[in-house]
Amino acid sequence: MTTDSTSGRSAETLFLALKEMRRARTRFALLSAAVGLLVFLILFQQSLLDGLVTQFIGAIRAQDAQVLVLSRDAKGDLEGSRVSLDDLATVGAVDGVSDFGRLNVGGYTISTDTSRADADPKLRLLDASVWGYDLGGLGGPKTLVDGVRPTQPNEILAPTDFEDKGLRLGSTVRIEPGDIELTIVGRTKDLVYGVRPALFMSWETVARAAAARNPDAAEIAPTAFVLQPGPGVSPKTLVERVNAAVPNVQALTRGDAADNAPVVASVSTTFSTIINLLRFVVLLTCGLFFLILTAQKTSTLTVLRAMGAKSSTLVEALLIQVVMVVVAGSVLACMLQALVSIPLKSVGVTLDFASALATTGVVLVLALVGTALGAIRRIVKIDPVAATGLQGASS
Amino acid sequence: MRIALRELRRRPGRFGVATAALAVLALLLLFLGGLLDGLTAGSTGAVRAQERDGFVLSTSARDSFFRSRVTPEVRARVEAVPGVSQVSGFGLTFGSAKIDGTDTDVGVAGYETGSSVLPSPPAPGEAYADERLEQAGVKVGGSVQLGPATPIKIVGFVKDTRYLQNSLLWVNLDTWRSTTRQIRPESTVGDEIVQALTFDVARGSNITNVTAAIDAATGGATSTLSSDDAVNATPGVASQNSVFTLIIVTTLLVAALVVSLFFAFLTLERVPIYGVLKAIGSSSRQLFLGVLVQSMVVSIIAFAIGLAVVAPLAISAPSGLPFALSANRIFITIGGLGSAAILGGLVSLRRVIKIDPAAAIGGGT
Amino acid sequence: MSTRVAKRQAAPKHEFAAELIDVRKVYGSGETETVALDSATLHVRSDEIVALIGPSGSGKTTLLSIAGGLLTPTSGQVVIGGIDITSASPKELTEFRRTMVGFVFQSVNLVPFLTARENLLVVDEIAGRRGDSVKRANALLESLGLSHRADNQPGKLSGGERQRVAIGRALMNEPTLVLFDEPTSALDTKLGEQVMELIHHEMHERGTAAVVITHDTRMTHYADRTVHIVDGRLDANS
Repeated sequence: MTTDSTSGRSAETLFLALKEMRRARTRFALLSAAVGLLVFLILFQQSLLDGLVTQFIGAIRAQDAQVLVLSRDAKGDLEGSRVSLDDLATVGAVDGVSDFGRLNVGGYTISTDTSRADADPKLRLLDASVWGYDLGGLGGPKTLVDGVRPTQPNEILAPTDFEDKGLRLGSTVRIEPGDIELTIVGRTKDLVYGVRPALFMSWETVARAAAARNPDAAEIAPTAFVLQPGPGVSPKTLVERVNAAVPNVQALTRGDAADNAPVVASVSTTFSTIINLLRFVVLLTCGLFFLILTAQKTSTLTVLRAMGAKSSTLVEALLIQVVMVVVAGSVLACMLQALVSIPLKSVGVTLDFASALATTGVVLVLALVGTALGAIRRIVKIDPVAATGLQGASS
Repeated sequence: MRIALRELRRRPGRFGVATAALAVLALLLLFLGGLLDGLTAGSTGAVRAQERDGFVLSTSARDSFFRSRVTPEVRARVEAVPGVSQVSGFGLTFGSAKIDGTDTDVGVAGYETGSSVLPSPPAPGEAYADERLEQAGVKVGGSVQLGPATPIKIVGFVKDTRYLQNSLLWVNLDTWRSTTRQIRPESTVGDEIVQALTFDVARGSNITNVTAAIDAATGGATSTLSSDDAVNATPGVASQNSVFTLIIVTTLLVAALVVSLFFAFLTLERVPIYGVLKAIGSSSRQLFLGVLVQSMVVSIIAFAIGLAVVAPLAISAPSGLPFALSANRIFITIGGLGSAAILGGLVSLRRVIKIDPAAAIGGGT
Repeated sequence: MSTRVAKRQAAPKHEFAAELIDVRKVYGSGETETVALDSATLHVRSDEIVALIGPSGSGKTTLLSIAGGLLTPTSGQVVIGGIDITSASPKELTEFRRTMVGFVFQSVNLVPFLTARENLLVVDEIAGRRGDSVKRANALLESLGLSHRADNQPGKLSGGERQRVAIGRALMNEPTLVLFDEPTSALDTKLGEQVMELIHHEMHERGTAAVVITHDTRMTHYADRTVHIVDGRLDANS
């Protein structure tokens, strides 16, 4: 009995909500379009930001160690970090470390596709980020898209999406200056650092490259140590332990190391500001729309209340409309995002459903807050007795 | 129309929220526009600062200075092309220098002809530095050392001369060659060879014809670009432009929608009084003009608010942020917002026209 | 023909402010045909106040609308102030209403955010008429006893005062004919009488004709003549 009347009421509420939307078709369409474009702007810029950030620190996220240890004076910047090999044993001995290794990150000029007979090496010069680690140990990429992991000093891993720059599976690469010839045996996604392709290879190879560039240099120092926490130990815990145990170093989780890269921080802040402003516009627009909508039908609502409709029913009808508007807008936004991701794939724009869902959720909450502040308050304030009073002769 | 203005003055509150939303959008438009202009300026300063009509690169370079090589033979052929004047050499190499203890991306640009921005090339071993380096701590009389190269003495500063966000040291061609040899041996060029040629178009000729003529004269060995095309061909500029433009246009559409929504509601509310006004002889045109006036005023006020918020950034942007607010950008933005206001107002036109004055009679409440 | 031009050219006043001859207004067709006005003939002299009484649905609103140039008749002839508006275009009707008639509606009349004076000035703004607007508005307000309320917005005026401002607004363009739609229905008896007294006074002082729709028989003695309308038909006394 109760179930019937509840579902009956819900159907009635839905009916009320839809009927009004049909009557005010244009206005609801305009609002959905506005919300849709705003959500699209958010998705688009989120996507840009992710693409941009990946260009800067993709390699950090791609490698398999969950904790990185940099020098303390590097202030979270991998490029400027140099740790001492003397500290390697101490760091490795910290409680909770199940595996550890060393990493050297440096910038080199490479010539690509030298395996092609017709290729002029001078034309295929490329700035690259070179990552040296102990093959078979910690510090290499988590997964591969194609090929195999390197086992020899002349085998390297390269990023996908650089075919047009000469980085193909099986092609040859030379580090300039010097005769260091390397073969790409495996590739993975987003292996980029500092907007340059990141090439992963053996520590020994990197040492040779450094020596070729600067014969007077002594043994190369690691840029960072890489650690893997053991079972039951979270990366955060390991970070705290290392920082407590070893002076001169700063341990960071992989995520923090990525987020703290200097350019990333400022770019993220800029985009976040823009995205927050867009969210604010959603709140204002939805709030204003539903407030005016409610205000303009106050007399109708008052009559309904006088006839016995509960405030909660009226509010429910309103909420249904809000949800429908946001969902319609989000669908529009996803379609637009999918559309622009075709020509703009190179800049990193894609339709990421997880991101779209999260954004829709946030936007829905904002729209509801805006509605609550305006329209819902007004509905709740309606006094049914006003339905009987004569409207004062207006003007 | 005066009614419309009076309503704005007497009932500002009802326009408040819409103005606020538009102000945020105006702020976004100015901010994004300023970012785009700042990024573009920082990437193309070196090209624009030379104030030449065109650039000649080798075809195989595919519009990149770094990959381009122009020999004296090619240069001679270019100089012989009618309509070409003041041919000069140009070369660009990127490196890194320690400024105030920090590793900074610094490049060296070799040139032959000055402009209103660039003085004539300095003596060997000397350079005019981009003013960003002055902000980073470099002083006149001091020197900058790129990698292991011979330090270069700074004799002055120049504005807006960066390339791809890198600050440049402007040197004569010999200094450029010797520095390149030391920091990028694989990119070394022989004496007399440059990466590109810059030129002006003689009076009476036009740039399109001249660029074609040059490439014909060199038998297709060169790819000549006008200065504007060279700016647009700068890596990243075209794609930045399209991305930002997409965002800006979408934001303007949102502004138009916000205006349309708000005035759709307002117009609905005014149907009774519009009916009365039509009954006493007002035309749809007069009423609709009132709507447009209000939407324009609201947009202008919103723009002013947005500008006020962005202005501090324009004056002193944090050093990492490439931001430049030009008068051009301000005009484009206000034009865009004005158009959005008109477009948004148009949505109400149909309803205003449809209002039947006869409904004013007997219309209760 | 431009009514403004016609008005200036017409030196003597016409004998009749309004002549509706055999006017019919029919809505719909066939099965759903409604006859709102059926062969209505009404002559209103140039200084006459006519009270138009009828139950709701009697067609009195339709009659008023046609006389005021708000509706076009299905058949018949409508001549106001000597100008035939029977087949005038909507644009011509708009101009006609600007210059020849005034309206006082039942409830919504005034622009809520304009002062009493500004509500009068609006009439001249709509007509694009410049010059002595403020003077004429002030004079009207004074004769209506509203000088001290001239700068108040309708929200600050009493019901009776608002109605008086509406009357002033209707007279602002010096019309040939003023049409009143139930001017006292929202007012109590005393106020209603005051307003009717005012209408009587102002119309006669200016020699302006008026048609007043009312359902209140107590008010009809303020009019010079009463005409009854039932089911779209006027009684013989027109």
